[in-house]
Amino acid sequence: MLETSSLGTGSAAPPLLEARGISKRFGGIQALDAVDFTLRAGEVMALAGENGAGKSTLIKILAGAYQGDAGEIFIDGQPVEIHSPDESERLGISVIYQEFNLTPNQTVAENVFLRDPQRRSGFLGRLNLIDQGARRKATRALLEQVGSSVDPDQKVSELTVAHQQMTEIAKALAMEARILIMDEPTSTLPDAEVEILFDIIRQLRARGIAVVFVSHRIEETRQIADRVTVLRDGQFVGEESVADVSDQQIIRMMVGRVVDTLYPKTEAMPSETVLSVRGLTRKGVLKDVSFDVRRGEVLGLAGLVGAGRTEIARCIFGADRFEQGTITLDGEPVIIRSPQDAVRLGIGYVPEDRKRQGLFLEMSVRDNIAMSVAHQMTRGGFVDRSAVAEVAASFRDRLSVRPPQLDVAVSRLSGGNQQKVALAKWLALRPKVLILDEPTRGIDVGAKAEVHALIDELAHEGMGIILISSELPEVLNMSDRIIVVAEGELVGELSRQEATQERCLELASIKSMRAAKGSPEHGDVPWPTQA
Amino acid sequence: MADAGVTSTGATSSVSRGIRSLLRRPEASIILVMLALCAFLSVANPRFLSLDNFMNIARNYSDIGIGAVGMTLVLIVAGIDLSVASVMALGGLVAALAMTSWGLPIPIAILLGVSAGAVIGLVNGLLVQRLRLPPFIATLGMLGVARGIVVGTTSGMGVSGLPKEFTAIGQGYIGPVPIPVIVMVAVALVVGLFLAYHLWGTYIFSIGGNETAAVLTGLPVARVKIFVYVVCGLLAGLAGVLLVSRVGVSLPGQSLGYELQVIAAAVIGGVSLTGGRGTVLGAVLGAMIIGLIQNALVLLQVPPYWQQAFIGGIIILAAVVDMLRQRRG
Repeated sequence: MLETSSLGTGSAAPPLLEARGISKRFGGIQALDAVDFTLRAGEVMALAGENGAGKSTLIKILAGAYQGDAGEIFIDGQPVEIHSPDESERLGISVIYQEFNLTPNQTVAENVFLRDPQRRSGFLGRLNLIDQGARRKATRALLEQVGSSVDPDQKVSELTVAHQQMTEIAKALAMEARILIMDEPTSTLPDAEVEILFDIIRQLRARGIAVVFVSHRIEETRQIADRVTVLRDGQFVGEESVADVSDQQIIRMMVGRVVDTLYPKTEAMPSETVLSVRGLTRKGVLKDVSFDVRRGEVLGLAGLVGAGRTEIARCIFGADRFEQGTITLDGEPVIIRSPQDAVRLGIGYVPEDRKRQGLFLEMSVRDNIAMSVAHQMTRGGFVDRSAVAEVAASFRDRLSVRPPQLDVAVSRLSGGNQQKVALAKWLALRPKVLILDEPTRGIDVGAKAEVHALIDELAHEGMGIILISSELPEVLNMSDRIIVVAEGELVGELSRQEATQERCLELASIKSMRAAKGSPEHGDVPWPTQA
Repeated sequence: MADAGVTSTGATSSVSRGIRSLLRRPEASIILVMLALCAFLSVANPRFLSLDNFMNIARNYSDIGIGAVGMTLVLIVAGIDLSVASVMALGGLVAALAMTSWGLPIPIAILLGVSAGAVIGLVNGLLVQRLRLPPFIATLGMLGVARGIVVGTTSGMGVSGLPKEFTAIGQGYIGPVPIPVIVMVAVALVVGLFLAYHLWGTYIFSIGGNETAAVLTGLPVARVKIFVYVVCGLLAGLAGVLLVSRVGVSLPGQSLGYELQVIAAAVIGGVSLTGGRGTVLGAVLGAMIIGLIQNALVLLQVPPYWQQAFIGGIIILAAVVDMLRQRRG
């Protein structure tokens, strides 16, 4: 057993962690089917795969949150059993989930030492009295290791997402983690902060900690990971050194087929202006924002998280009030006081958080798709069900929502298909202007390409589209024009030809970034761009 | 699922599939519990199994049933109305005063009683939707206010001397069926069909399922939510008028504590306290179960002091059953 486990790495030492033949079944679904996973000390291993490939299940089995049905786990070559999160942590495994495991109303120090609260020595310690000074000092030391200057006495709820993440990492270090598993750590981070996170990960790697990095973004995988393990449909597809494979190869392993282009953008033919925003001002949030959207074009809204992109969208859509500014639709000034007004005028908004803001998870696909138009299909207030079913079916087909049953509750769908339903809800309304806020967040590569194709199609049909995305490659590749927002103001407009990742970041950071943290080796060409 | 009232899975293909889909309906478990209860009681006490006894139970719990129909709507939009019992008392009092002190004709008096309930419901809705008070707090306050108005205007005295034509409604029968039961069934039918087929029925489930998404879809969330509180108040007013008509007198302490039975009926009937799920039929059946159990306790000669404990136990049991059913998916 132990002899064969070093997998021909040339070194005699067994890998830090080895999982063999891990299987897990949920009801009728085989979430993991005899999956192997090997992790060496001091490496960053990317775990790649589409939604439903089994990444989360594997992570949760290592974290002790689930029990595998079959398989063995070795740490330092010794067989171990992980029955609970507690046992997993004792073995030196720390998991940072997308939803942080922090108690928001407690301080950073209290969170970092949640497990080992730094008792006083002697009798007082036995009474569970805590040595606040020692804890503060220890917390500060750990935070310094990750290059953070957060005050240990600050409440977690007052921290930015990036600082909360650092607190999580410090917490893992406090537990002397040797294996740090991060589930999509970059999905909620602004681009500038991603670089800082990567620096921290590199430091951890240098100290011999093994990091498992889950991300949907290929370019990030290439940037930070040494090796990549790919899962598909619960099966182990392969394990490669990142340097040895191309992006296309990784995608092919993930999707199981060739995705020829992730950004199927075609030449736009923008015509007259459909939406004009002038002098949009919301106290403390937006300042004098003006721009136009033309029929048939995709206008990209770029900027750091919190720069005001979503706020602009919400004001136009009537979800938030604004003090000053005018909105003109088709040349007519309009007053939008509520989303109801916006919908009536032909403005649609696909919000960034589909589960919390976009979908009725327990309701059927049919009811979700038809929700925005059902009021047009009533007789004396009673819904014409066949008309509703017809509309739902036509948009299900157009967006190829899977599974095709209209009765299925949306909660049963994968992330990508849920997003398609959220989009379909608005398409049914045939809006003049459609605002897409993070339309591909957290969905897999295949669905992403489909959503992108749809955006292109809609623009061609004459819709004016505003695209908000934290993924710069998406904005750059899908937009005809890009406006950059920083601290609630427009700081620049770039044409498709002028726009590059560097220029957008530069504009976005002019106001807020004082100290750009060095210049990391930006070898990453946004992938895979159409020539 | 959440919209079990909306989706009608076709029972056309085969009988066994039809039965299975029937069993999957949320009301199925309640009906099974009712049948089991009835079977047990008919063995335990032969007096139980008579049409008279059943009709009596249904009549005595018709006000809880009508209240539970309104409560179902409020609970589905993830609200709650604690003021229903006080509103019942107020509605009953207004109708009684209208007939006795103000000398108004019976139909007008009934209308006034019901409207009084609707007005309180409107206030509840405005407090919740416009002033953004938590429904629990707003209606807890209204529980006190409405009851206080009843006690205050009557100085704690009852109102009697109601016309016979009025009490005939609550005490009368059409065929073997008591009139309050007919009213309850009619109310349940109308509201149930509304919930299943009307546009706003779908909106009610949408708002309860995800209010943020409902707002961002441009649904008339404020109007629907206020409407739901108005309906709940209106039905509580109606239940109160029927109650006064049935017992022949309006008392300041009438229907005291009924709000818990009304909520219990809805919950036993499978209505979710967190919103988005429930049916009118379930709520009415829930009210009948409470009636059956109380009747059973009487027939089995359990001291009345113990009844509350039994009802409480049933609520917990219903919640557990509901939880298990949900977990099974």
